Amino acid sequence: MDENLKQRLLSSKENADREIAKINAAGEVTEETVYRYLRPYILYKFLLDGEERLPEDFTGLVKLSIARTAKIDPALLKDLQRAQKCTSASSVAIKKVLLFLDIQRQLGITFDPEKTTDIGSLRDLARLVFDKLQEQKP
Amino acid sequence: MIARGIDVKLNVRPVMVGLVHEEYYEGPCRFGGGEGLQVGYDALVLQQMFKDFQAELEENVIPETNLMEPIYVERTDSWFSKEEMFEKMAADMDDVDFYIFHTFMGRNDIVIEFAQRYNKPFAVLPTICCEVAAISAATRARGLESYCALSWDKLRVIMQAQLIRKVLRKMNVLLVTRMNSTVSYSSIDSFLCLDHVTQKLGVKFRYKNFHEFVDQMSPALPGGNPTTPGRKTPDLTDEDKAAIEKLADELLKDAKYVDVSRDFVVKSLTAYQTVFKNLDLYDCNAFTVPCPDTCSTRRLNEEQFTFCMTHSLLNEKGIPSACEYDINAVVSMMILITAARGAAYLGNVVALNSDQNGKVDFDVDMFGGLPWTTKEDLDLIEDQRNICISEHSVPNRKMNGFNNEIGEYALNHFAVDQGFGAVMRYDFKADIGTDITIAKFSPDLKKMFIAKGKVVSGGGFEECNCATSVLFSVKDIELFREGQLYVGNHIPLVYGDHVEVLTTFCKMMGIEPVLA
Repeated sequence: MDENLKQRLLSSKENADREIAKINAAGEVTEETVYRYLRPYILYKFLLDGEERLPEDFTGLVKLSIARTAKIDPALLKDLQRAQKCTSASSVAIKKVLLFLDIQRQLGITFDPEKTTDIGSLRDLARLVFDKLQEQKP
Repeated sequence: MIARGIDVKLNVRPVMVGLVHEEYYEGPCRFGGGEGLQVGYDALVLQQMFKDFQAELEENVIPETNLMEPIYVERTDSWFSKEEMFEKMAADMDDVDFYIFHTFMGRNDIVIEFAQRYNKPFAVLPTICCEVAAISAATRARGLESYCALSWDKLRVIMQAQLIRKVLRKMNVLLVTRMNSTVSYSSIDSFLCLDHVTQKLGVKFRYKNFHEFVDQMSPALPGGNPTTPGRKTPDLTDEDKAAIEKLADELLKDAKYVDVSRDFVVKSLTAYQTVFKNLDLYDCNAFTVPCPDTCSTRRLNEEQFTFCMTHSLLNEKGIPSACEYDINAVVSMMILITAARGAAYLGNVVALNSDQNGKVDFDVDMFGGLPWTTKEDLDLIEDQRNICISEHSVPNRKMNGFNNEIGEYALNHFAVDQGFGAVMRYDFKADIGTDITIAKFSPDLKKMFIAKGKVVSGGGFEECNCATSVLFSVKDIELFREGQLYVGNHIPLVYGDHVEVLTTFCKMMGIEPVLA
């Protein structure tokens, strides 16, 4: 069972990396393009691919992901990156930030930290990513 | 202007202090691994935490809070304590009553220094783990006013106590006096020194002469009133009369039982309207006037009113109003209504003796039978051990909350022979089983007696004269009696259990709580 789970975790990571790479590979990037690839990327990252009845809001997705991964042996989640504990940051906050850091690294952008607190939906996140891509265009 | 105590808000400034690591490194101060140690992580996570901090406050602070714009400051692991950081945290400091800090290891020194610089009361968020105890020790040792509660329930109690302190600092009491301006002939157990009350609690006092007051209960005379010849005074106007008539109609229309003439209702309401006007003129939010001192002038008899209805109506409006010039009681009432968010009731409080069978002897222990509390009222109470009675003539209809609907009430008269002195009546039997908190300061302001109980009966709904009673049970009648001996005869009560808030307030103010 652990082996199957390990495999699933690995394939989710690969799928996530593949989806977000499509943003970089797209010629003319629009906000819609970003959303089209960002959404599956996030669902793979959050191990929510294949889930039915997903919440619409970003925080709802984060919370669902935390609930799902809480049932998984932490040793298997090493590769999913864990952040600091004992700073009074909530699991939701940490998970969001880890996602932002990965997006930053994958797309070569740097978010304004203050703007990352107002993300209500995945479309809001897509808009933020799109704006940053436009800003950082040479 | 009447600025009611119950409208006062506690201005709370949230401040979060962040710590940003400038480099990647590991060591004994770094927890976790991976991305969490990378440069850039702190900036992102601190903003998420700042947002969560605001959401936590909005969900948990007391309803009477004015949450000010939250402030975020940060330092780095270069350990600078920049002046601009303190300046930012101190913005609009004069408007801030209470700070709530979100802090953590590596930045608590900033919080301590802030407290040392500005000496404002503050709390730390209960949910920041180890820091609560650390800051508590650091601030207590320095004599700084800090509150380090371990739960939001406890912090809310502290906030309520802070609110009470602020309300008292904004309390102006209108004292209509005839002779002694500190005590009256029937409230010798009031405060020893009003200036000491001002020094310790911040309560202010404004004085008005009783004779001038009564002169102003009628339309202006050419040449001025007898007590103030040649002066313009705030006498009764046509607007006042219209307001009085309207209020008389309202009171009489919905009363379940009426045994007082409309004319006498109007006369008592004339006193109320005059008091209300003067509260506005003097910028006061509380009132008291003596009974025997003023009664013996015979002017109340001549004008055919008493002040009972005034006290009832003001208390309903959240303006504490006490009988018999009991200034101690009126200040205690302000504290109680701030905690309870409902009106207070003031009466003569007597702890009743009971026999070995747990029965109160109606003839002996109830002083030969009070005319306003009957044997039937007493017999409603099965277990008569640990019973107290509070009786006076100033009930009101808002003890269950200032925003509650008005229940049943009656109107009666105070003067037995002539029938004047409109008084309100309320049947406390309707609230049997309700928790009460009863409290009052000692005359020297060194102690506060605080007790809790339950309503077990009531009396006097259809009685005249000084005749409304509430009977309540307490845990230990001897303990109650001993405590009462420090504070005197009148002790105000409110509904609900507010012992913890009042005890916390006492400790905050260096006043000894005497509990029963």
